[in-house]
This record gives sequence, C-alpha cells and structure tokens, in this order.
Amino acid sequence: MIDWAAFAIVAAAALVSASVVVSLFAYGLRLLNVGRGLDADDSPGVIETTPSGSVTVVSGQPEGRPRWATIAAVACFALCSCAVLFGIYLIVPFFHAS
Amino acid sequence: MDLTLIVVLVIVLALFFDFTNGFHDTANAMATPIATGALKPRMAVALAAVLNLVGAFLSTEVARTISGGLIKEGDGGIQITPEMIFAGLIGAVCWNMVTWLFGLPSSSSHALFGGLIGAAIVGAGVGAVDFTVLVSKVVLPALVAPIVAGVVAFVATRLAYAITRDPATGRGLGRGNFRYAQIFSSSLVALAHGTNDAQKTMGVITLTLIATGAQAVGTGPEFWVIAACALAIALGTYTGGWRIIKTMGTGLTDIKPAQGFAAETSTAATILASSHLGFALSTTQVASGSVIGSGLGRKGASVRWRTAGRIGVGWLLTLPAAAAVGAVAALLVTIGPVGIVIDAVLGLAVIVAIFVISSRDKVTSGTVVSEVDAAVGAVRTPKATRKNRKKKRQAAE
Repeated sequence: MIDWAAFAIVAAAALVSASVVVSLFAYGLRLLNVGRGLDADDSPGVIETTPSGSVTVVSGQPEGRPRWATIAAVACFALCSCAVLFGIYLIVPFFHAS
Repeated sequence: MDLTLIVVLVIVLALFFDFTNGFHDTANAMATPIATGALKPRMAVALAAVLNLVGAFLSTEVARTISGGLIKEGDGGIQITPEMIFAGLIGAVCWNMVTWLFGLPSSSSHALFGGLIGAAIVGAGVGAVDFTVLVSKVVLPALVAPIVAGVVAFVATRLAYAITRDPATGRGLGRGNFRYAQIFSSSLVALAHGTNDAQKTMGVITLTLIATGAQAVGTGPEFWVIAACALAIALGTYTGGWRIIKTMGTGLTDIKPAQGFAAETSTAATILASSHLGFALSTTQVASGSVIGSGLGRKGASVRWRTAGRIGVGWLLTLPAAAAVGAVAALLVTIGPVGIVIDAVLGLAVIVAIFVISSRDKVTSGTVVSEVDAAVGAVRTPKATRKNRKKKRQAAE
C-alpha cells in the first residue's frame, strides 16, 4: 500500500543532508568568531568596572582571528556552496538525464 | 464548435489556476527570509518569481505523468473529456481562492487532484477513481510530510544553535549571519517549486489537447503551453500571497535567522530527497512542517498551535472540498453547453467575490513587514544592541 522502505530512505536522507549543511554553515560562523570577543549581534557589550572606579565598555570588536580559523571557516562555506550546487544539480533534470 | 470553446475555457482556467498556485506557494520559499529580514519582501517575491519562471522551463517530467494513474484512463478505463477537466479546475481554483482568503498554506496539488476526482466521480462514477492510489500517493504522504520535515528542521535548528553557542558565556556567536545563507536556501526551494508546480498545469492543458485530438497521443507539452504556464506561475508568485506569507512567516512561530536557515534547508533537503528517491511529498506541507519544527527547536520559542491547527484543518478539507465543488460543476456540465456557461459564470462570480472580500482587509508587502516588526518588538530582549540595530534598520527604511 505504502512504500515504507522508500519513505524511510527519504526521511533519513533529508535528515542527514539538512543536518550536515546546517552544521557546516554553523561551524563556519563559529570559526569566524574564534579569537573574537562576543558577537556584536547577540551581546550587549560587557561593562567592566576597573578597581580605580572608571567604567569601560568592552564591545565585541574583532581582535584578530588566527589564520587556521579563517581557512577552516572558508572551507566550511565552500562545502556549503557545494551542497547548494548539488541541490541545483538534482533540481535540473538536464544534468542527470541519461 | 463547442469543442474549441471548451478547450479555450479549459486553457484560460488552467492558466488562472497556475496563477493562484504561484501566489499560494510564494510563502513556501519566501515566508522565512522575509520574516527574518534576510530579503526585503519585494525583492524576495521577485527572486521567487524569476526562479519559478526558470524552473518551469527546466523539466517536463511531471507534466508527462500528471494523471499518474489517479484517474483510470485509456483501455478499460474512462474517457477524460475536456468538460470534466473544466469542472475539476473550477473546484481547484475556487478552493485555492478560499484558502488564500483565510491565509492558509494549503496544497495546490491537492486542490487540483480533488477537483479532478470530484468531476471524475460525477462524470464516470466512483469506479473512475483508484482509491488505493489516492491513499498511498496523496493522503498518507500528506500526513507524513509535515512530520518528517518537522523532525528534520527540529534537529537542524538544535544543531545550528548548539554549534554557534559560545561555551564560555552560553551566548550566540554570529547567528545573525545565517541571514546570508537563507538567501541561498530559500532560492533552492523556489527553484524546486518551479520545476514541479508549473508542470501540473502544463499536464492538464496537454491532457485536454490530447483528449480533443488537437495533439498526438503520447507527446509532451507544446512550447507555447510551457511558456504560458511559466509566465502564469511567475506572475502569480510575484503578486505574492501576502496573506499566506504572513501566516507562515509570523503566524506559526517567531523566526530568527538560524531557524529560518535550518527550516529552509530542511524543506529543500526533504523535497529533493522525496522527488529523487521516489516518495512524492507536497512542498506546502513540507515547508509548514519545517517552520513548526524550527519553532520547537529554539529554546524560548513557542509554536502557536491554534494557527497550526487551522492549517491542519485546511489540509484535511482541501481534497474533499475541491472534490465537492468539482462534482457540482461536473453535474452542471452534464446539462450541456448551458451548464458550461453557468459553471463559467458562477466560477467567475466566486473569484470576483473573494477578491472583493479580500480587499476589505488588504494584506500587502507593507503590512507583512510591519507585522514582522511588531512580532520582533514583542519578543522581550533585554539586549540593547539588538534594539538599536532594529531601530537603525527601521530608520533606514
């Protein structure tokens, strides 16, 4: 009546591929933030009070990210792009019509 | 003479159905990027329209198998007449208009199947419909589609939040940047939609042309049919079903960029997996399931189950309701040419009436954006920077 095997394959493939793509992009964003303070988007900036009584606001400015992190982040984004290209490949029948 | 008139009527109505299909389904791809501000509303619908236009030209595989065994045809089956297709289309169009009025993301394919099934039952008896195929190809997939997409989106959202959490402070790192990825993920969904949905109309028009002998049996859609359908769905998409975008973008849950990206990726992955591994799922149901899943996946986000319930009821009703309208239209058709005229006039009256009712509380791109802003404002955030950013953006607009 209903092809449960096909259904299971579809569910598993969707779960794995979506998880991989989202994880890759998330790791890319995470790597871009290595060596950086809090993200400007999500942090209010940290208010620090020095012993002398003066107040400084330390905001999430980039403080220099190690080179390896940049390379790894770019690699993550590149893999994501590959996923997008593979998606286009799957959508356009011209590419895989025998 | 009658034959050519009915063929023209079917083609016009089919193209109008294609148009409603377009504005009904803009939300599937573009509700989430609009809700998170990844794309400006006008930009988003323009992008979706172009991708639908391109997508419609890419493939005619679905068009060739539109009737797909649902209605028994050919040897030992029944003869599909243009009149029956006409009646079925009236059912599909009317139901699409009603669900649009209520802002419900319902499946246009189900409306089309429903209308055709209703017409077929009246025209040729209950035996004309293969109910086993109906259950296995339409009803069960409709039940599992939102669940699969929901689970996938839930897991993806959890992952996105877990990975971008700063282990030291527990705060998010760069989550706003998921916006840039959203542009790509939603575009993929729009393109996939274009390759699927415009073809259903092409299939219906081609079926009519073949049934009347205007086209040889077994041939694919003519180029002018493909072009007309592509234009109709693109125009519909650009018009933007703002009511449905509002429901999906802000009605189900408040979406943040990380969730939006997770939901769109899940939608794209589920649709591509289903269309390539042989278990067809409806785009609308997959997209709605993804939005709910991403709402459950973010801590502190809540899903408005009342809205989700309303959508669910819409899904349950789509097929039988379109079938009922299609059946009544088919009954009128059996009277003869007068019946067809009555059908056409009544159908037009319903469409005009719904447009008039809808103009009382217009939902436009502007309304959707202000709703989004209101929704964002309603989320309590103690963080000053986010509010400032919001204000800055509002001032810029």
